[in-house]
Order: sequence, then C-alpha cells, then structure tokens
Amino acid sequence: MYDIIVIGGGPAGLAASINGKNRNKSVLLCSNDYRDSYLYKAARIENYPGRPGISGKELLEELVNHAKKAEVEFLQEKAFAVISLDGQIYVSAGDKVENARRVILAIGMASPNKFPGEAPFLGRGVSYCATCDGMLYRNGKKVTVVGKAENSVEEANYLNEIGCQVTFVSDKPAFGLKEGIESVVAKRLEVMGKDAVTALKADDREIPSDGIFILRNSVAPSDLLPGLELDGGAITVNRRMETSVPGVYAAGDCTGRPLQISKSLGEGQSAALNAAESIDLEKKEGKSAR
Amino acid sequence: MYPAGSNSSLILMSSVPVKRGAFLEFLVFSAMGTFSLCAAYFKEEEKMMEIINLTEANFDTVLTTNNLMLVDFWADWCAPCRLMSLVLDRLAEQYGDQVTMAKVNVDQALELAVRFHVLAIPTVLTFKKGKLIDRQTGFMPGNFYMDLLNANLT
Ligand SMILES: Cc1cc2nc3c(=O)[nH]c(=O)nc-3n(C[C@H](O)[C@H](O)[C@H](O)COP(=O)(O)OP(=O)(O)OC[C@H]3O[C@@H](n4cnc5c(N)ncnc54)[C@H](O)[C@@H]3O)c2cc1C
Repeated sequence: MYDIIVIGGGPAGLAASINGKNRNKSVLLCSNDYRDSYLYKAARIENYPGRPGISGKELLEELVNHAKKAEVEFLQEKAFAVISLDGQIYVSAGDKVENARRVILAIGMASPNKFPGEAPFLGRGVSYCATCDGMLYRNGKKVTVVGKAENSVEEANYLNEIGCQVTFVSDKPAFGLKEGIESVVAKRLEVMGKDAVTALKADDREIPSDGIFILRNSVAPSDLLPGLELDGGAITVNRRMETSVPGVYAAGDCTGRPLQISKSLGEGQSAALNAAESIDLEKKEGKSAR
Repeated sequence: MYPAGSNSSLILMSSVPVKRGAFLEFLVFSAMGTFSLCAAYFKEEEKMMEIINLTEANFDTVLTTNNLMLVDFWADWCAPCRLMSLVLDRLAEQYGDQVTMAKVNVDQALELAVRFHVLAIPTVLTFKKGKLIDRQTGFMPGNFYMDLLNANLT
C-alpha cells in the first residue's frame, strides 16, 4: 500500500507528488503520458512568476525531472475507477489495482463531450477500455476504435493482435497502425444501434461495428469516482483540498477556475501537505480516515 | 500494460465460491513496483457464505430459486472487475442470506454474456423474483447497490 496515489501528471499532480515525497510519504503517480498535460501545449508562458517567457514543454519537463529526482514512482496508465473501502482508497489503472491511504485527483479539465448515442449504448457495445473488454470481441468481431488519446493506436493494434477486425477512426490521419487496420478520418461521430451497437456513423459513412471503443485521455470525474460531489463539472473541495469522499483530495484545473499553472502547483502542494498531515495524525492515533 | 495470461494479483477473483466473513483484510504489497499481490485473509469463526459461480448449466435454476440476486459479470483480465469484486464481498457480508451474490466469468460462460448483451465488464445485473430490475456497466460504489437492494428487500 502507498501513502499517497496521485492521479494525473500535469503541474498539479507533479507538485503534489514532489511535496508528498518531501514529507517522507511513499507516492505513486499514475498518469497518462506527461505530454497529455495542457501545459505541454502552452508555447510561451508570461505569467509564471520568476520565469517569464518559458515554454510549457520546458516547464513540464523540469517538473517531471524534479519528481524523478525526488524518487516519485511513476505508473503510466489511465486510471479507470477509484473506490474508498475500509479507510483505504483503491485505484484501478490499466491492468493493475493499487491502493493507498490517500488519493489526490489532479486530472485536469476533463471534457469528454459524449457523442450522440454513446451513453445509451455503454456496455452494449460501447466501451472505454480495450484491456477490459477487448477479449469479448476476439473471435473476429468487428470493432471500431475512436482514437482520442496518445496511445489509441497502440490499443487498436492490441485489439487487432487478439483477433478483432479493427477500423480506426480519428480526426487526423493516424500513423503506426498494423496492417489490416483500416484508418478513417472523420469529425462527426454517432453511435447507432438497437438492442446493441450496430454501427458507427462517421461523417457520411456508416461503419458496421459489433463494438466501439472510445479511447480518450480523460475519464469524467463522476465516472472515475461515482458519488464525488461536483459543481458545474468542477470537483468540490474545501480549503484543505479535501473532496466529498474521505481520503480523496483534488487539485489543479479539475477543481475549477482559474485554470492556471501557479494555481495548480499551489493546490497540488496544499493537497499533498494536508494529506501527509492527516496520514501522520492517523498513524499517531492509530485510526483510519473514516 | 495488457493482461498477461495468468496474473498473481487475481487470487481474490479466482476463489469462487469464497469463504468470507465479517472481517476481511486485504494485504496488498508491491514488488519492484511492477505488480501488486492481493490476498484475502479470513477470520476463522465466521459463517460460511457463498458467492455462486454461474454457468449456462445452473443459471436458470439459480435464478428461479432466489428472490433477490446480484450477478456480476467479470473476467480475470479486467482490473476494474477486481474493484467490483471487493465491493461485492462487502455487500455479501452485509446482506448475508437476504441477497444472493453470483458471478459469471465471461471467459467460461460466454453464452450468458451474449444472452444478456453484456459487452463490457464489469456489468452487474440485479434480478428480483427472476426479473431483471437493474443493469449497471462500469464500476459503481457500494452505497449505490445498498440503496438498490434496500429498496427491493421485501
Ligand atoms: C494552449 C494553452 C496555453 C496555456 N497558457 C497558460 C499560461 O500562459 N499561463 C498559465 O498559468 N496557464 C496556462 N494554461 C493552462 C495550464 O496549462 C493549466 O492550468 C495546467 O496545465 C493545469 O494543470 P493540471 O495539473 O491541473 O492539469 P493538466 O495539466 O491538464 O494535467 C492533467 C494530467 O492528468 C492526466 N489524466 C487525466 N485523467 C487521467 C486519468 N483518469 N488517469 C491518468 N491520468 C489522467 C492528463 O492526461 C494530464 O496529463 C494554458 C493551457 C493551454 C492549453
């Protein structure tokens, strides 16, 4: 068991991880590729105190290196589900389940605008997890992958390897797909079906599909941790960065405006220090978070 | 990143039916940061409770002989299914023989998955007097199922 699992490797998550280690806590940072952070896209930053003109990429790489030096453990996986049980928090990420005393959500601005037809067919052909559900389609079933994340091509190749008949749909041409996977570029998507999924409508074309894997970088906070209190899409937190779920903290863009670097760094730090303090208190008193 | 054929972190899932009780302790440790091993330890004096492993052969009989039943569709290559399983264990403890807890391993009983259009796991189906009353895909927390079960106990 870790002291702290941080989910999300942008400025908020990296600041939380570094500060957790500074307080002598074991920290696992579970995140997509660090290049998925919004910060990576910022060409030139003028309002980061002390470093005017620095690029987002440079700042992010400095933060990642700092975290590595601090011996933060990295797990490059997307977290799918978080639960709190018996005073511990369990996180499922990729094909692993890890647990910790505290979890800090630093998942950025999740903006999964769902496609028409997506929600009603979830579990009836629509899936978000190739690792979880790919095997259900392995016997030559027709599978369409909607690639929205860095590693979508990799996941499409995996589905192809286990025996699915794969079509890959993305808004830009995709590279690195295995032979036998058709690549389709389309902007407007719609899930079609009756009892179960039958096709993906991609612009003007209908792609017959037994299954549609919609692979995004983000998981909506309400899907990640059902029951988490939100306010207009932002995770509700108090001054200690505690969410409505005991033992779970949140920091950065995911807690709402302003969507800025320094605010994210500061909240990440605050969340980690408060989490560390409550772990110490709990150890002293010999009781759990609940 | 993809499921390895056999995985040592699945002890929990593979022991169906399981002996469980009021107190469960999960010892989780990581070795070299590459995997975690999850083992369940059970107190001795508790009563034996079973999570029924459903197959095509026994499904209909079990369905018709039980009043309120949760059926969890899972597979050992699915990590969120392991979280679902932790929740189900707690629910089984809490509700005892008021609710029947059952599992369908989709690898072993693919026909049941097909019959209920289960195309993503975990999926939990709830039946009352043999009738499907609720269907959830993806992980849902314990208190969701507690509300559902409490509303349907009688
Ligand atoms: C073009 C652009 C320019 C900007 N310019 C500025 C500027 O000049 N000044 C300024 O202050 N701010 C600027 N910003 C905003 C700034 O980048 C964000 O406020 C900041 O990156 C937020 O940090 P964060 O850690 O909260 O989230 P993010 O940086 O978005 O990081 C979140 C990380 O978590 C990962 N993640 C999400 N869900 C999961 C999951 N379920 N499992 C695992 N990982 C997950 C994501 O992939 C991502 O890597 C700019 C943003 C953009 C896009």
